[in-house]
Amino acid sequence: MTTRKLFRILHRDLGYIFFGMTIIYSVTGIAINHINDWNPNYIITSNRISVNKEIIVLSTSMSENEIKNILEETGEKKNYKSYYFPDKKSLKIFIKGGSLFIDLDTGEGYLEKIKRRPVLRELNFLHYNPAFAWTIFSDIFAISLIIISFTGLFLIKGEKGITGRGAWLTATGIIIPIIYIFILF
Amino acid sequence: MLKKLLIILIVLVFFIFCKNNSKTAEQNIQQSRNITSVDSLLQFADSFVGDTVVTKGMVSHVCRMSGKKLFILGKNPDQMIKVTTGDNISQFDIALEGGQIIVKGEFVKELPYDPAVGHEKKQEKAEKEKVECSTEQEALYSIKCSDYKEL
Repeated sequence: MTTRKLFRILHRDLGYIFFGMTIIYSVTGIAINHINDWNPNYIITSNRISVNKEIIVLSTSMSENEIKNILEETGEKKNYKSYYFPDKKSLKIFIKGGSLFIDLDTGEGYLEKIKRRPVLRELNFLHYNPAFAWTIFSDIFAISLIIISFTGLFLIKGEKGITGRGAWLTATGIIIPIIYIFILF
Repeated sequence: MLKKLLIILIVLVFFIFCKNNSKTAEQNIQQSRNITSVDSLLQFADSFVGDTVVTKGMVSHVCRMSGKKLFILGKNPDQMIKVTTGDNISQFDIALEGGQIIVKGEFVKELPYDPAVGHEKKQEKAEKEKVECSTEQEALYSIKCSDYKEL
């Protein structure tokens, strides 16, 4: 077997095996790159609410029942979890799938609802290295990517191969990150 | 031949995973019988720094962006400890908010409080790390979490 044929087999089969991993890391890579612009794990919505202070007297000495009365007004009583007072002027109530923040002086506040983003959250979970076993598998993937990249250089002979057009394209792909290093580092 | 190799590979991955997860977080926590309250930890904070501690508290906030940190409260909401994910924890679920958890991990002192600049140093650090949390500046001690259990 020639070296080129070996490279072709390695490139092809590792490419097949790690297709799923490449997609996982690419998609979550984009998601995490833009983490300041959006939340890849959760869909968070926030709505203003107002407690009727004529019915409910707001204070830091409120009981659990009084807290539940607030939730009844917002239709969230059945979702009650717990509450605490972050300071003398505010109340935070935790509900299933979100929370309420209320200013005790004004009765104004907001209801935050949190929903898990399907698929992407699970993929991000993997991206953040959840267990040693995953670390081993992702290390194998990383090594395989090096092999896939290296063998890819030598798949084609001739002017479109690494001695012709391929050389220019490969050099471009190496020079661009080097320029970024010089500018940013 | 190829099919057999792939089956062996999948079985191997499964075996490695099971071996490394045979001791679950729950078992680890249960082995640690001494649970120190958040209030006691903070009262004698400096004497616990560097130790592996187990504590219990209500989760007041989970970082929305990374999920890599949360905050637990003592009896008094001013008594707060930051909990960060350890090596074998990917993220904290936001559903932990409002619930009680037991946390095990290394007790760490955060950046020293400088009265001259207040908490600016911490905010500066948070900005650098691009992970902003509303409660970030309030926790002076943290736990690098190795295991946790929701109650």
